[in-house]
Amino acid sequence: MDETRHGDLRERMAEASSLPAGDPERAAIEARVLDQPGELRDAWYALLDEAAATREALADVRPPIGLVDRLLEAPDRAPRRGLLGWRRLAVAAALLVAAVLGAAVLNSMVLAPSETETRLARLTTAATHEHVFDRHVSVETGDVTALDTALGDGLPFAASCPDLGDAITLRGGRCCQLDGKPVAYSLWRGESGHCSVFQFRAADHGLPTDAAPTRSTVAIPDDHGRTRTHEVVVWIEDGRGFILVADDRRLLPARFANL
Amino acid sequence: MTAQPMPRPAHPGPSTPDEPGDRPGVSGRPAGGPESRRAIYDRLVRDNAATLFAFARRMVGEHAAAEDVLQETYVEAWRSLDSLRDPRSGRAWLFAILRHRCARWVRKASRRPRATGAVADVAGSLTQPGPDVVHLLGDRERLQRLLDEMDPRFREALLTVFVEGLTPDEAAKALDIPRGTVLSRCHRARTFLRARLRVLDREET
Repeated sequence: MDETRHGDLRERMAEASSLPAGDPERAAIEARVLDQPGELRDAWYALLDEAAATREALADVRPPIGLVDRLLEAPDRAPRRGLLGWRRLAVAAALLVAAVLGAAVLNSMVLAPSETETRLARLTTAATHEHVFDRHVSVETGDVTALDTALGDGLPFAASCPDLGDAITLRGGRCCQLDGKPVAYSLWRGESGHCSVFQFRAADHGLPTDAAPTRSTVAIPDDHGRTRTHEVVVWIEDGRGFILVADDRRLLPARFANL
Repeated sequence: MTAQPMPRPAHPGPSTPDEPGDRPGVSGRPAGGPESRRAIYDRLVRDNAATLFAFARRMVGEHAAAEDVLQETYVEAWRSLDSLRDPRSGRAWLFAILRHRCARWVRKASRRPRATGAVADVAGSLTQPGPDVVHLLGDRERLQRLLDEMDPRFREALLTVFVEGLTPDEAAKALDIPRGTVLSRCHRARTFLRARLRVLDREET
């Protein structure tokens, strides 16, 4: 009988010795052990010593030299997918493609989006995500010319902000990428929210040198699971592509209001 | 005004004027704006990389594979950082990703685990605790070989409690198994190590 009880206690001791110090279950087992013969007490302390040594041995792994630096650089080397998030991308892309497709059907009875439309849809979705999730600027200025000059060093083309009227004011900008290609990003502020403008070379994305402005509404789920819509205008002038993403239609320049 | 060197879109620069905490779509992000997003990531690396690497190394066995798994873990963390509601829970969040990555690696490696259940059949004295085990644990390479032999379910429970440092309750939640199973797996994993360390010591000396 005693042997059975001791066997059960040993089993519980073995499990409890993995518990952290101060755990009530461990304390209860320890209290029981201290009432037992010396052999059990010795076994208990051996288990505790062994647990401490196991913990130390398992954690004793020398990280490779430069590991932290490589991990810090990991986001920069990762494929761009991460910036967008596939689920968000899929939802937004589906909505945008549907909008583009609808327009195409109405205008030319074409049943499927062209390659150009598909590429523009992808860029538009990526730009809207940048607008929603990453609006930081590396150059703070309200002066368009100064921003173009400042971004010039980081771009393989000369940035040139389009005329966006007086309703919104420039906050700054940065160099970034869309679909792996260089982009001049600028952030604007108006009364009802923000606008982002992405400027890129059309040729980088296999797009034509000119395309009339088209406007669409892109829905992006935010971090709370709410879907927010954004007004997006895309156009190409002389080989220079522009995507304007606005929080609100009231922020759109007058020339796009009736699109 | 200064121009920043080229594009690190996922690597925010210094500032965001009046942004982005005032935007509904951004306010749920960890601690505010894009700059803090990068700062949070950097802190997650600096504070946890060593422990995560130890876990990965012990779990997948190979040094290079452990680093690969860790790289994947941090890239995934960066991509889904927006889903981290509370940066203070970043460590547990990282470990959740790491466990998933390790499990995938182990599955791909198609290792045939040796059931630690067999250890229960090992005759008495080998499984009893003793000061010799503390000494034998000093051979880290031998320890790793034995971990590689161990059933991954027991190895994962042991590492979750002993390396990640979770309480059995926390480990039960993280591993989605009952608390008693966590304790039982730790116990069996330790018994396995104890017995096999002694057997190997006898064989090799």
